[in-house]
Amino acid sequence: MASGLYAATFQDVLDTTQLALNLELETHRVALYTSSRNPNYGQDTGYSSTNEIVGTGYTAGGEVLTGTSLSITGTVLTWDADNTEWQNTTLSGVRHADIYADALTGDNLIVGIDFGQDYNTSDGTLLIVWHADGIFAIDMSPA
Amino acid sequence: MTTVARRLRETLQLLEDLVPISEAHEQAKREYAAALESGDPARIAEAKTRKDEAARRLRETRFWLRGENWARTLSDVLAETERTGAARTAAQVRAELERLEQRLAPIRDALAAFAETREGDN
Repeated sequence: MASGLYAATFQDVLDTTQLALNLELETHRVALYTSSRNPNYGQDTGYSSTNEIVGTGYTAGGEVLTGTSLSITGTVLTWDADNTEWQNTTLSGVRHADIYADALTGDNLIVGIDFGQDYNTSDGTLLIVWHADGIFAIDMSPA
Repeated sequence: MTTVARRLRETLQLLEDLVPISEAHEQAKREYAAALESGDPARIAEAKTRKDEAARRLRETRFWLRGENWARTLSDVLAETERTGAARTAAQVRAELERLEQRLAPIRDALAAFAETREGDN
């Protein structure tokens, strides 16, 4: 597995489709998956419940991503948000997260994150601390 | 005050400071959406500038908070890998920690200078 942006969504934003993806909305969701999730960043289009985590404290479809921000520093465009957490959970084998646009009809996938290893909780909080450099950052004019 | 206690206090202060920064950003987003509805180019441009500035402030604050947290984690990992003799892993962790520390240094200096200013005001 790996992390990445879902190319088909960004193609739809930029081509004649003109998909109305607004990264500043407060309605995007973070869904959790087991290691059986095998994302295809070139072809996957929308949220799927296949291989989604099932357990106490987690509802299918995931948690809302709050505090979204889109900023530019120099030539770097950064998308970021508040950390995401699930409280009072008992979960096992949490390995991957997909962020998708719940407000769009197609629940279009935005970004997938591979946690690198499985994580478990036992009546505890599962907390995703986004990277210090944001959920994703794109340098529009790299040196 | 110990280093750990001081760091915790600084982090707590930053977390408290993050709330108004976050609220200001949310407000700026709402104002930009309203400006777009109005169709007034001048109002749109002004609101866009305010939103961009608010987003940058929020981004810088989040970078500092998460960067300090990550630096502490890397320091712990480095100590553990050095203790267990995993030299190659230790070198990788040390390199990442050094890169992060270089980026955090100017923010720490700015915060320290700001704190001195605040103390001078009191």
